[in-house]
Amino acid sequence: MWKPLNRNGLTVLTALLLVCLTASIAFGAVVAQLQVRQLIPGLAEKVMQLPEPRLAQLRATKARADMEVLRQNYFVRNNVPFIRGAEGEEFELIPLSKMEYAPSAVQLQKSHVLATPLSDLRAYIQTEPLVVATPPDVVDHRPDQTSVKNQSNRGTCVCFASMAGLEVAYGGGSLDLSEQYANYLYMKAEGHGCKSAGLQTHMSADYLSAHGVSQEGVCPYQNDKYNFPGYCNNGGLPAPAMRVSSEASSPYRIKSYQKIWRNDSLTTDTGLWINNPRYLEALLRGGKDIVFGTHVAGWVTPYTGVLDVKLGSSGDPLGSVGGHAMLIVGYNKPGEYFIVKNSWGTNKGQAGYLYLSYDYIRTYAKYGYVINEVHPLVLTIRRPMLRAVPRIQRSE
Amino acid sequence: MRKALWLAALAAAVAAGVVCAEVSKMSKGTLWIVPYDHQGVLRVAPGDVIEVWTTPLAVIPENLEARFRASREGRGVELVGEALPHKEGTMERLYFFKAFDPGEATLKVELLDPEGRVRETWTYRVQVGPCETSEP
Repeated sequence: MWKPLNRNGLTVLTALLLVCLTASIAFGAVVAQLQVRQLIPGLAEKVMQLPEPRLAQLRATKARADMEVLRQNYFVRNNVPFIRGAEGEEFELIPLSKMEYAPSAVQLQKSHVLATPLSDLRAYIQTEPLVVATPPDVVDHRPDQTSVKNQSNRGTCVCFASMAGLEVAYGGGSLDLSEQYANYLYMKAEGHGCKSAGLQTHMSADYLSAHGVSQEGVCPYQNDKYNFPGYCNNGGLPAPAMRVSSEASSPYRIKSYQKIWRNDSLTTDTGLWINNPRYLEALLRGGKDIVFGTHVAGWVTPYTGVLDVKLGSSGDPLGSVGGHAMLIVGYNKPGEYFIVKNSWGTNKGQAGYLYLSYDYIRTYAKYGYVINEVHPLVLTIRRPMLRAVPRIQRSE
Repeated sequence: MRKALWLAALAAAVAAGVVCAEVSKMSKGTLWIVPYDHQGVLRVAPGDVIEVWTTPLAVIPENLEARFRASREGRGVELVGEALPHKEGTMERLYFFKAFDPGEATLKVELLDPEGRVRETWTYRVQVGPCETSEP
């Protein structure tokens, strides 16, 4: 006769079910492994029985990879092709052109030390520790960026910062994405009209992963915030038609991103926060640029020096006059400043770039994000048109 | 003992009633959000708060040294605070005025250039009526 289980019975039954489940998963895994081995006979053995020359080759590759840490070393910067290790072994250095962070043009200029015979350099290196484990003092992604733009008199800095980040994520070069279209997307998502402006910078990552943007040519930027006819019908087409056209040609979209928040309780440079310069340095070393929002306080034209925290008469940092969005593209550790791409044209700052001190970032940075991956562009290849080819008469 | 318990329960009920009455009094005020280009008279009640948004000046070099200033003329309303909107791109300010007594006032927001000269002015007329007219 069936009886309802009491509490102990239920516990035992649950435990039994769990044991059965675990056993079946383990069994499945073993069977799958066996099948793979049967399909690729001798797989495990081949991995275990690498021939000695191949192992040596792997070790050499590993050694070269380790040498990457030397890329900011004096010898690397000065284009010395190889150095000799403490035990007499020679290491070929990675060519400058293949380095992730190729030194900037100034650093590439040959130093007078290069006139020193190589043998002397080798002798010198033998007495010095070889591996430089410290991170590079300077990371500068400016050469990778697209051109510096000008937002004119509109409050569209978030569009410019986010497009700058997206352009470089797509490889930079001459790519020019439409800030006008981005502003249309952002304001629509925020429930504002297309002539409005202003946005929490990190929200642009959400909107750019939900919708793509077009190139500048499809929807050009309108400089005057008061005198453009709405949306982006500057091509003379009625707005809805232009909108459809723009949406159809808007493939530039974020696939994955990582937001970075502020931690107001930080007292040391620790943690994955926007107000931790060490974290931002690490991101930049990893090849990322950081789209970020910050308070603006105490900036003095022409913005060519390092913008630092200024104190008011009360001894506190000056209050914010507003929020601004830009793109962090590098850092200079000895100088304690970040290199930031701005959108005020090339005649402001250092050819359009600002230097913000580490303290400024600690004090005023609000939030930001890095783009991890973008959607690949799908190229539509037109079928070649068939046409009549004139028959060639062969001469006998 | 039983009497003491009854008394304690009664006192707790009275205290709860008083607190509820105070809270409901506090929550009666209305928040009026006023865009910079608002025209027309605002009719508010004592206890109401008026949040005036300034013009959305862009964060660009030409504007960085400009400043906003808010004040009020007349009676019934006081400037109680200001804030920055939580976004990037514009230099708007939010000014908070609170209505205290019946009366008429004009709220004034001015945009000043770096030398302190008034570049532009916006005004908003406010009538603070008795409590009965406070329904929005």
